[in-house]
Amino acid sequence: MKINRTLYRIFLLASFLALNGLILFGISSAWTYLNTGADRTSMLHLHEDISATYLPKVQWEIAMNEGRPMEEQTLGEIERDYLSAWQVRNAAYANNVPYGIADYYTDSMRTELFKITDLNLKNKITLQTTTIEHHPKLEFYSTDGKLVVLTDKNVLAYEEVYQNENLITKRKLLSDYKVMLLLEDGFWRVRQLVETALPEETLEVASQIQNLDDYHFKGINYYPQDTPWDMFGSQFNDSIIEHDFKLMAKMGVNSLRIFIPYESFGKEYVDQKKIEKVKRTLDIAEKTGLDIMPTLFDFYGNYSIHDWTMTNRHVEQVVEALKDHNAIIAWDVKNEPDLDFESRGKERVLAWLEQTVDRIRKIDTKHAITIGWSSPEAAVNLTDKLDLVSFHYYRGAPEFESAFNILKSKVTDKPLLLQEYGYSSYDGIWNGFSGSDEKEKEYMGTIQKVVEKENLSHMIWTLYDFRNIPTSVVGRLPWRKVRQRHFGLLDDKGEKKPVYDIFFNENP
Amino acid sequence: MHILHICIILSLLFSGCSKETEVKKASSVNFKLLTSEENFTAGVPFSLKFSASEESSPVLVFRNAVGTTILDTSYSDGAVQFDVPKNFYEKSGICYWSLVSDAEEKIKGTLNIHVNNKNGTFLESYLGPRSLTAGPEDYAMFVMLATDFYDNPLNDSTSITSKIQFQESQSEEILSSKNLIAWTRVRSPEKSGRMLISAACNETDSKEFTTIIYAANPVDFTISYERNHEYADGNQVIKFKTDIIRDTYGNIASEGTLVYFIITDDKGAKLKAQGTTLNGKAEARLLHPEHQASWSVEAFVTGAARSKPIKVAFIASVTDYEVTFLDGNRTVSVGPLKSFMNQLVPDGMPISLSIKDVNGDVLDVLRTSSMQGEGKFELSPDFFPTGSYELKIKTAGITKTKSVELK
Repeated sequence: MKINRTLYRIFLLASFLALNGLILFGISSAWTYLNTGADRTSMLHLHEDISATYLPKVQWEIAMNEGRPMEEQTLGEIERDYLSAWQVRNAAYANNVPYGIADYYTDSMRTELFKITDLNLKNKITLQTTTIEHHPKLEFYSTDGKLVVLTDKNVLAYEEVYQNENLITKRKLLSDYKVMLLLEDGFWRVRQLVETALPEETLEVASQIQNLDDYHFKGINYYPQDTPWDMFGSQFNDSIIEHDFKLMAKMGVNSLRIFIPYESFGKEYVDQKKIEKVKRTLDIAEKTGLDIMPTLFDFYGNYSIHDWTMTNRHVEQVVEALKDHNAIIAWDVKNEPDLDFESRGKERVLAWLEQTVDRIRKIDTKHAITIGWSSPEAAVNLTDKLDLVSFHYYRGAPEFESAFNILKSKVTDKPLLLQEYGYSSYDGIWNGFSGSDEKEKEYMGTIQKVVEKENLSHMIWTLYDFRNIPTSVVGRLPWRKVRQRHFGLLDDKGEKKPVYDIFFNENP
Repeated sequence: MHILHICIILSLLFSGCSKETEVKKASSVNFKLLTSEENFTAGVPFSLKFSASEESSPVLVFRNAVGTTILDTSYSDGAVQFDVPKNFYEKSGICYWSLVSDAEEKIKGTLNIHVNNKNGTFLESYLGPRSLTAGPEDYAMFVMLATDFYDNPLNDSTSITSKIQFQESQSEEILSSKNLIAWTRVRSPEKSGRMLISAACNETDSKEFTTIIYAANPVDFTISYERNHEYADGNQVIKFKTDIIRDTYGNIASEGTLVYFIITDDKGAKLKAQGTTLNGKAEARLLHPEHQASWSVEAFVTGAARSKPIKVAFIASVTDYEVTFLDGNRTVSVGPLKSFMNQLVPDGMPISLSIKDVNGDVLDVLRTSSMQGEGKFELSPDFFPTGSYELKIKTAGITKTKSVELK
């Protein structure tokens, strides 16, 4: 009886406290909610920096124009507004809503655009368009500074035409335009846009691409042990890198694959400090006799046509800065882009890859270009665009030979590279203590037999067992993270794991 | 029986959920372009005809400089026909077409739509700047854009005439268009006035533009003055004026040109008066000084021109006056002040009295102005206790000093 009463008391007290707690929680949530949203400073309508979202390559041809000499300031304004004219036009045709057209086209010109958006709206036609290159040349600038004529030659554009949201056709376009712009209400507006004679076909430059047929990659996908997936961040330490590089060179490795992430390298405005770190890494590689294959666009996943001009600016700066370094052996455009086929659309991803390959080729005519496909099956994509066909393999070891042979039969004219493969020796609660160093050795041994039989170029994932895996790599789930930590040839103390002997048994 | 039903339902469910598999039909339809013409004229409707090897429904993707669209088929006597929409056949330039059937580009080509010169010409012209200064250094630019009826710019090397009228002279110049436009510089004449400019192309005339030619910068000029008398009475007004200000070419300076008159007196103090020109002449007025003075006057059009300095002398109008002390020297009466004809000076002549104590320290300066030729100061015992003071009276440039004992 007494126990019962005590229980009641406890229950009553507890429920009272819980109720109070709930009420307080409710009030505080309401309070927090009411305090979120608009910042107080937003009342002031302060100027916001709008970062450019359309940055095709623009190369002005500098020559004396007729009329008044051009001022640098005005030329910048003309370029800005002219590109905006293309951007709003592309956006208008993407959904047939002519938003912003009135700002960048004069009355008579905008009616012509409206006629097409109306027609396309009626017929449910949409266009995904972007211009990739502009080569404007100023022809005329009037004395009162209110009228310019320019020719824009070899405007390289890409266009996808959709009807009822089905892709009808996609193509690259090359055109020459004559453009007349008027300064109205502070905007340089397009008054006339005339396509002139068909552009001359540019002759294909004789290929100077380094032939990798006889180059045998015996490589490693490299991250420093303490900073995996953040090699060039604030903890960049060239003495660690030098140590690792010397170690690998001693092991008999001839090439490394490193990663250049898109966002943390500054997207379209590449962080030169990080580029300097990459250069230092390349210097060390050259000194130790290692060749480097940088993988670009790591962690990038947009691929949208509207993003092309931005990724192009990124790749241009990175490739331009590094292409002349002796340590570069090839460019890897993107790591495992085929994993984005489903979420982003295969066509879209392939179109992006194709044009990015073209972009790199335009800047660097020398080095081979590859894409790190996630499987041998995916590696048949875009083979004619690439100089080296790379694929990754993490599935069962016994099936490797057949999967590889299928690829080999399909790709006959390009060298192949097994760019990533490895096995996690993780042994713990998340896989029911089923892994072991011996299993790793066995797995790699099976694959290595095929690799050696075929004399296949290969790059192992990876040098070290890592201590920490960033969440952005495989997500938060602990069983994924721990697995990812144990792919190394050396364990987390830098000691050789059993698997090491498969590769480097000749070097004690 | 039940199991069979369940099986059927399950299989239906599964098939309903399964993704529609895309079957790519390898189409074998061949198309051939029947339209042989590749050059068309803007504004004239046309269509493209194709023959197809078998029944199919292709679409034609059609593009010009402005945009892209898709044309649907219409059939005519067995051929596949695409009618080019109005806004596309009205725009001159290069057009690209490609025939797509079953998601495959079958055949593609280009065609050229030429400018239509038949339906008349439109002429758009721009003139700027719209005002000039006289003389050959300054010019305006006249830009002409000739288009056909459908707003397509005429081909390069179209001749466009620009016409200029200025006073008695009329001139024409034949220009040839290049890069969409034709342009010319309109040099300013040496005379000021209104210049009319227009253009003509293929029997179409533009509207009339006016540019106003203003006089160029003025050149140095001379000034003079006018006054009622030469006495420094502090009451009359002296008028400074310029002669007609002109530019190098003899044009009268623009109305409203601001002229500053800077006056330096014999003590180095500066006075300033200003006026704007009317018919080239500017005037400015100043009050005569109250005491004898000698002025040096110079006029400026800021940044452009100046005059030669002139001298103006004023002689004293009041030669002497009396000071009387009343009420134990506490009331100081000045005057009567008499002018050059012994008339009382006009009201308002300033009079000042400065009071010093025995140590020579100035205690106060009292000011008043004359009324009926006289001025009066009251030295209150509240401020100035009994004692000896030195009083200094000053008016019309004449100073009188007196030591007094205030009671």
